[in-house]
Amino acid sequence: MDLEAKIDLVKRNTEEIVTLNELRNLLETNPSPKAYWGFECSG
Amino acid sequence: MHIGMGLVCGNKIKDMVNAGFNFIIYLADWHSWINNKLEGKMENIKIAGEYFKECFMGLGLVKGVRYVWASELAKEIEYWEKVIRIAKKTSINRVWRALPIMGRAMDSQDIDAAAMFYPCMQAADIFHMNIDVACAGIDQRKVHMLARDVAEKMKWKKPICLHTPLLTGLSGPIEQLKGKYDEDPRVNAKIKSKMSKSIPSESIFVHDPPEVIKSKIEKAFCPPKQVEFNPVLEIVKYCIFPIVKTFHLIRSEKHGGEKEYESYEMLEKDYLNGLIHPLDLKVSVSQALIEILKGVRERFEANPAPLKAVLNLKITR
Repeated sequence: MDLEAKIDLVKRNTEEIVTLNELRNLLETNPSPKAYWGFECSG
Repeated sequence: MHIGMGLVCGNKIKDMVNAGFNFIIYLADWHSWINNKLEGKMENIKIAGEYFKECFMGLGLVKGVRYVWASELAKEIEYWEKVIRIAKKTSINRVWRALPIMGRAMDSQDIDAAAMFYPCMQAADIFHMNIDVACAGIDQRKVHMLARDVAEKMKWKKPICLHTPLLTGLSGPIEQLKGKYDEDPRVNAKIKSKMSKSIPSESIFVHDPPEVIKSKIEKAFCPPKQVEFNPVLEIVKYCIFPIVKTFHLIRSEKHGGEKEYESYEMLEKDYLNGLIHPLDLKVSVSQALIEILKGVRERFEANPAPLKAVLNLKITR
């Protein structure tokens, strides 16, 4: 997948990305970056 | 787990895995305990966490995803050192203003002191796991901004933050929550009418049987020619389209016949122009959701214990 396709995929259906430039830099330089989502365990 | 979490978050996690990310699904048991979820009992919270894992796996979040409990981090002294360092760089006021991340209003009166740890811990989670991109619903942006500011002060890696929209509850823009959650009136309105699992009739759960999904969608708020705060259209956009190639509109010949939509934008345009009747949309959305959630139902049919255990718990807000 090329860089633009990756950015589009990450960006779609989001309210905001802080910042898009930093995301671009990350995807340009790091082939397997680390992301997380935290959830309160509440049923 | 409602579809806001299972599918809005779940679909975004899939996007990121497909874009090459290593993804951590973080089960925040300590945070739930601080926030008095499930009567503030850790044994109940663990049951809910195990159920979450099962739901996500049923939705196909297996490859590229790792599940981590907050209690694993909490065992390490270096984690708590970060919590304190963050607290030392942040004013009490700033931490207080971040409380809406816990689903607590900014003008709450009955908050215990333990709540002050929560935003500092949530920021420490990011640094301790060496995260590049922190993802959350838009109601979590305050703590992410706090983490970015601390990163700058401490010269730590500044997390990139990705925020997703909140699904509107099935009855539409009705304020389910009292108090103020955000300075931005638009974000405040979204938070107050979001789909909430503590009000079961407002949410579709990923484990709901097909007939329950149908009846909930049938009763849902779905004003003709209106997109804003229309939960049924939001479900099409955020829950269905990211995982299907085309959306199948089920409709009798008399009313125009069946139709395939290749993009949400085309469907929205037809809806705004009154070319799709809300009832036809609802029937089609139910059908698509039933199909998408099949994996979860099958998983719990094969192994019902985690679902049974969670259904026996008392949900506390």
